[in-house]
Amino acid sequence: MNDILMYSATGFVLFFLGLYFVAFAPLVITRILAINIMGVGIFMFLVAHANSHNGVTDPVPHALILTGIVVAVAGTALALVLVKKIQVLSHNQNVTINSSSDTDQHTIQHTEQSPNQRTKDNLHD
Amino acid sequence: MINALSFLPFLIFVPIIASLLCFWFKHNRSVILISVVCHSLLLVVSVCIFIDQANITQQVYVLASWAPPLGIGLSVNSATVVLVLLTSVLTFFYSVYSFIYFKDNPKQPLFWPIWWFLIAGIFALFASNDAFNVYVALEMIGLSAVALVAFDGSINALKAALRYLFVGLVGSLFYLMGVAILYRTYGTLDFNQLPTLVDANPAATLALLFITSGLILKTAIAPLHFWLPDAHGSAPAPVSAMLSALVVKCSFYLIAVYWLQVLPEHAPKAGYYFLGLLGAVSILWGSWRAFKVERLKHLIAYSTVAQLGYLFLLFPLAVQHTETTALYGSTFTASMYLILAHAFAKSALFLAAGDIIHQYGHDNLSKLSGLVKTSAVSTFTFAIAGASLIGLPPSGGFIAKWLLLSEAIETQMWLLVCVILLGGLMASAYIFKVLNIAFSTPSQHANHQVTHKQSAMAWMALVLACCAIALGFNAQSIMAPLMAPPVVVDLPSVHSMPSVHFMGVFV
Repeated sequence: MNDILMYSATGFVLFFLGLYFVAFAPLVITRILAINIMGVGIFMFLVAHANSHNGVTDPVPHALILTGIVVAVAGTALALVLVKKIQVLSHNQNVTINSSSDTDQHTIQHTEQSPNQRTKDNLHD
Repeated sequence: MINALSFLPFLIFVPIIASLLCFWFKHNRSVILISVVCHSLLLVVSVCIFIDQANITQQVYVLASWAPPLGIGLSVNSATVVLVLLTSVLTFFYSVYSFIYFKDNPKQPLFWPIWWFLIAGIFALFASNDAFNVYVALEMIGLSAVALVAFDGSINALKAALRYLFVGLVGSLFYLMGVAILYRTYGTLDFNQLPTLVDANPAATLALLFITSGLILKTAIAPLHFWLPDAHGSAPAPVSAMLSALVVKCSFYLIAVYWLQVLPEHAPKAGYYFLGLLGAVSILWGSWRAFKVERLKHLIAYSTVAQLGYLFLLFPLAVQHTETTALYGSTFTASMYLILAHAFAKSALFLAAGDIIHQYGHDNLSKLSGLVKTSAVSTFTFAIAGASLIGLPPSGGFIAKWLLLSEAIETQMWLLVCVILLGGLMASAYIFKVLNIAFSTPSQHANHQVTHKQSAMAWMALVLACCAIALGFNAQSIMAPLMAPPVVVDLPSVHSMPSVHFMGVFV
C-alpha cells in the first residue's frame, strides 16, 4: 500500500513539474520534453494502482498507457517537425520573428547560444 | 425496419478508410471520387441514425462482442444524433469548398488524408461512450487540427500551430489525468456505468476538476482563449471554419456530458456558476477584442470566443432551472440550437473571408473598403451570417438567444440577462464595423489590387449563411427531436420580438 501511495505521489509531482516547465521554460525543446514528463507522470499514477488487487494485475491500465504512449510519440514528433520548420524558415529569411498579427503576441527569437541554433519561445498574454 | 445502431461504426471507419485511400491515391480525380463516395455514405448513415434515434439512443453498439467494461461500446444520445448530422452536412460543404480553395495548390494531396482523419476524430468523439475513447478521439482531432493549421507553411501559421499543439497536448493531458483518477476510483470508464457508481468521493470531484480544466483550455473560454485567434486566423479558410464550427464544440460537448450526465453528483454547485461566469467573461471580452482587431479572420475568430461563452451559460441555467441532471430540457435545447446556428453562421463567415482573401491576397480590414463592389456575394454573406450571430430575427441565432434569454428571465438570473443582451449589442458593433468598411468608398490613392475574381466559393458561403437564417424558420420542428421528454417551449411570435435586438442596428 505504501508503494502505491509513493508511486502515485511521484506521478502527481512529475505531472505538475512538467506543467510548470511547459508554461515557463524558455526553450521550445524544453517544453516538448516537459509535456512528455507530464505524460509519464500520468502513466505512473495509472500503473501504480494496477497491481493492488491481491496479486492479480489489472491489464486495463497497461492498455491505456500503451495507447497514451503512442499518442505522446505522435504529438512529440509533430512538435519537433514544427520547431524544425520554424527554425529553417526564420534562419533562411532572416525574419525578425515578432509576429505581425495584432492579436496576443507569440514571439520566437533565435539566439546563438550554442553551435546549434535554438528556438526561444516567449508566451505572454 | 433497419437497425441504425449497426451503422455507428461506419461513422468512424468510413472517414479513416477515406483518409488512407487519399494518402494512397494522390490524383485529383481519385480524391474527388473517394470524397464523394465517403461523404455520401456518411450523410446516409447520419440521416438513418437521426431518423431511428428513438430506437437507438437507448442502446450501445458493442464492438467485436466485447462488452463495455473491457471492450469498446459506441452509442449516441439525443444530442449527438444532431451533432453527427450537423458534422456530416458541414464537412460535405467544407470538402467541396476545399476542392475549389486548393485547386491550384501543389500541396493539395497532403491535405486530404489529414482532413479525413480530423473528420474521423470528430465522429469518434461523438460516438464514444467511455472516457478513454474520448481521450483518443480528442488527440486525433487535436493532432490533425494542428497539422491543418500549419498547412499554409508560412512562419506565422507554423508558430500558431505550435502553440495550438502545446495547448492541445496540455489540455488532453489534464483530461487524461482526470480519466486516470476516475479509473482508480471506480475501476470503469464507461459513461453508462460511472453515474451508477456514485458515492461521496472527493477523488471524483478532483477528477472532474482535472477534466474540466483540460477541456476549458481546449474550448478556449475567456482566460484560456489566448491561442484561438492565431490558430483559427492562420489556418486555411475551410480549416478555420471546421475548427470554429465543430472542433471547439467537441470539447464543449464533453464538458456538458461530464457536468450534466456522468458526474453531476460530484459536481460542486458553485462550479456551475463559475463556468457560467467564465462564459460571461468570454462573451464580453471576445466581443470587445473582435471589435478592436485589424484583421478580418481574427475578428471572426474572436467572435467565436464570444459565441462559445453563450454556450457556457448552459451550466448556471441548467442548475438553476431544474434539480434534475438529465441532458434534456429547455436550457439544453437552447444550447443545441446555439451550436447549430453558430456552426452555420461561423462557417459562412470564414468561408466568405476565404473568398475575400483569395481575391485581395490579404484580410487587412483597413484595406478592404469598397469590398461590396468587388465581392458583393461575400459582403451579403457577411451581413446575413452576421445577423444570425447578433441574434436578429428571423435567424437561427435569434431563436437560440431568445430561448437562452427566456430561460435566464424565468430563473431570474438578471446578470445573465444583461450579459446576453450586451453581447448581442457588441456583436452588432463588430459586424457593422465590417459592413461599414465594406460599403465605404475607397480613397483615391489606396491600392486595391484585386488579383482574382469572385468565385464559386462565395456562393457556397452564401448557402451556409442562408442555412443559418433558415434555422430560424420552422424552429419548432427542428427542435422537436432535441426535446426527448416532451417539454413545451414557447416560441416567440412575430409580435413579441425583443426590441433590444433591433437597437443593435443603430449602433
